[in-house]
Amino acid sequence: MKGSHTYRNIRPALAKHKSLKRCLRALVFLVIIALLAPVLANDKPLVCRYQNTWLFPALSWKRTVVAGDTSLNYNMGKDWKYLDADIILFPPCAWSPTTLDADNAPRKSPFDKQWFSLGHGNTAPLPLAYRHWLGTTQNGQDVLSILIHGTAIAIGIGFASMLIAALIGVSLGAFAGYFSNNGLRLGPLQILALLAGIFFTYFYCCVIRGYKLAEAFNDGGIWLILRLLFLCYVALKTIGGMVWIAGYMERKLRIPYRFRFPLDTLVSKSIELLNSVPSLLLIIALSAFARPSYSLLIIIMGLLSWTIIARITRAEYLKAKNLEYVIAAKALGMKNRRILFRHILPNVMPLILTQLVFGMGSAVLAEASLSFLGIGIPLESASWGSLLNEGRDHFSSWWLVVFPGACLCLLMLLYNKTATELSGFRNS
Amino acid sequence: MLEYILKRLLWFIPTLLLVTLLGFLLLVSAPGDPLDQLVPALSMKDAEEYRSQRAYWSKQLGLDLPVFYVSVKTWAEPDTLYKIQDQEKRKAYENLLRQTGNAELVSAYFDCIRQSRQAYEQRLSLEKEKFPEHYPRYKSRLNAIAADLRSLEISGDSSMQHALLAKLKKDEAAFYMEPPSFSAAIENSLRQLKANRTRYKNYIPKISWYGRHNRYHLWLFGDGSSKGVIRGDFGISYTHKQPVLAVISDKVIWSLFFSVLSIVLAYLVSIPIGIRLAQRPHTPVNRLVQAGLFLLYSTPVFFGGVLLLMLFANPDVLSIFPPSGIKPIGGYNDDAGLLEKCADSLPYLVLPLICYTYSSLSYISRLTQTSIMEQLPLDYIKTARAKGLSDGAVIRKHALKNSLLPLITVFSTVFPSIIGGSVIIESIFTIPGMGQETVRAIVSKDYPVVIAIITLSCLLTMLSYLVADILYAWADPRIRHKS
Repeated sequence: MKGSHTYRNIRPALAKHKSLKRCLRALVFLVIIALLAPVLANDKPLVCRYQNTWLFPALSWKRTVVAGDTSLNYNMGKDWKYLDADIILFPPCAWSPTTLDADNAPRKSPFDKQWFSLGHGNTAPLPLAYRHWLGTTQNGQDVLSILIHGTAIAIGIGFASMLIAALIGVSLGAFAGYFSNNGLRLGPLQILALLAGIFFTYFYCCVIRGYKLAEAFNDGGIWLILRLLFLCYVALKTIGGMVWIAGYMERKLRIPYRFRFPLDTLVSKSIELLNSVPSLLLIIALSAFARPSYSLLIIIMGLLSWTIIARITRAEYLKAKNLEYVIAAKALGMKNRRILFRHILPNVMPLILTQLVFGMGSAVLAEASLSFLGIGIPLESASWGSLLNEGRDHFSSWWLVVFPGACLCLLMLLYNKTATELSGFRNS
Repeated sequence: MLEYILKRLLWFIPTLLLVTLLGFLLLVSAPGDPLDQLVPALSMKDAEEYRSQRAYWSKQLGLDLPVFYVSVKTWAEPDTLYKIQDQEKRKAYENLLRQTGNAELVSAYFDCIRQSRQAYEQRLSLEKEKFPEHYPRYKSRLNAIAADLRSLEISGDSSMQHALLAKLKKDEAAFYMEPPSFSAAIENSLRQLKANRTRYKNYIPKISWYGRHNRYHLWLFGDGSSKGVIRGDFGISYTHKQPVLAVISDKVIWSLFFSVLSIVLAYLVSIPIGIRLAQRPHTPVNRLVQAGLFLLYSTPVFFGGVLLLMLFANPDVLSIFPPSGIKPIGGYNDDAGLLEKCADSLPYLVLPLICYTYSSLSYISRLTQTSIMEQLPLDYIKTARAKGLSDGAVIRKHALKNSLLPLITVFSTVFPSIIGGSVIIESIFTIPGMGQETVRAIVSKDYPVVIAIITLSCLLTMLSYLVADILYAWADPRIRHKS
């Protein structure tokens, strides 16, 4: 295993930091809840034996299935509870966030009597297995189910947007700090190649195929982020390749001129510029432009929040490049890339992680604020913020405010605590 | 010092241009046609007036001009594409252009459709005059032809075009007398277009220069009728049909009031707390306070706000404060003085102020605490202690001054938030400030207002960074001399 030695000391160090370990465990627990959300809260049963066929509806992506001599619609929502099955086992919370339970429709409290209609106008008390433990919303959605599925949204958005932010921030910050303004020198051909590369990638991606880009943004979807990342990777590789070829030609042609590339100034100034953009306002405005989707939200938040990571990474690399181990690595003739990402990065990792965790917190907050305002998020989404939004119109329904609010508070506390502990982890 | 400030000011100019560019980019890429919002089709009785109104606003907004000084296009794209105002038609045009790469013939094709529509309109009026008694019977068929022509105009997909042409032919054939042969001409021009494809032109870049007569220049510097962003004219609000600044200026006052008052309150409360916490961080009470502050810091402001409303403005629990607004319903009494007005408004201000204050309060006290604690182990503090100063005097007279630097940064972030306002708090408590105006503008797609707010708040942030930097340089000679 190459390079793993740099992280070998983490386990014993973590053992010393009990509270950090606890925070990380709690985070892992939340991630597990988010991942298991379809099994924990679903209106489809986990296991069902119907007409001598074993079915696992909660784990299936199918729409319909043929069992015995009838065809079952998997998305029948509440009707699963009326199914005449031999064996049926529901998840702990027997409702999906989208299922509307008309019997308990306008906002049933957790302590209210809940009902279950049997047809022909007869109703019975709701069986405990189907109970809405944390009450229902205006339309009869289950609050607990929304909370469980909202965990995936809250955590997923934080992780994904910070992934983008980290990719941009760490690489830009590292290059800016390590090379600063006079480390990178380009020959005239290379500058030409750089400009031409930028122009032609822009021309190809935004002019010739611009309509595809616009379509993708309007579509949203999970693949948008990966497609964009791949596009950026190919574009950067193309530009890099052109510059490399130009450098090769310069060496062959023996062109002696070299110009300093003001990388540090460029990065610092763009950080300053982006920092002055009011991010929540911009997110709201931008999501009013395109069809709102979580992918779009993640991309915008990633693009707006890399600056803080870049600033810290830059400062650390600026310090690190004059330290002995870096000079030693240079003297050994190691490549810049190896020094940058194998030698310096592990040393500044805790600091970057601290910022990333803080950033995840603010991403969660931004998403919740948007869904609280009801702008810029997909309409059908069921997140913690949208519950709060409903609760603010109905003060008597305290469960719509207290439970999602407590979840948000806890998650923010966890993130803030983890970040604080992480910064302490670095100092020791 | 002077050199430092001058240098910062010089850097201010390109960033200013970039910020306005960002704002303009947002404005241009906003979806929908601004003309549709300014001139609603339903409100106009007269088609002639509708058209003239549209033309007037189009001229006012400079929609007939190119977007920017330069543009990068493909070789196939004609220079005058931006002149097609109809969004759907433009999309079809672009689509067809991508398939064929021959702008001349694409234009000819669209011209052909347009001429057909004109001919059709003539025919329609002729029918109406000549056979008024038959007209109602054939009106629906004639309208079917009109609909076909329109959908042909906005479809860029080739299979769709063929289907539409076939339908057009059928509709024409169903006409009671000699069919006007629109379809033949259109089909012919389409065939010509398909035969003369020059798709390679789609892959050759073309850079064109438009000079000063473009929308960005007009927007930024203005011309005869508008003054331009640079002189504070952000255009006309689509919904109010008033200058944007006039719309905004009423709202700023409330956001200003809450931001300034809350930050002053937060400083007044949190600096003493921070000092106390820094002095003895490990006493049980102080630990409790720290935990409380941490909890406050982690409480999202919208949860805090709704919780406050639920507890203190709820008839079921406690109804101490009114739930929304900033003044009594029906306004103040006419003869009320300023003092009475304040007294009337006071209950409305308590909850929003708490909400505004609490998150910055916990942040600032933590900041004060940590920055004082960073100073405490330093030599000059030891010297002060050795001189025999009391703990309080050491902190007040020596440590506090040096730990104020990070607090300058926090203070400088207040001013930008005046323009942005607090979107969330203002919409929870229905305060008529900038935040609520922003939400209104976004929901009703009033883009000039949105862009003005974003651009202004960018500018204010840049300005406050500038002020903070100058303050830093003034307070700390090390910063001045390093640059």
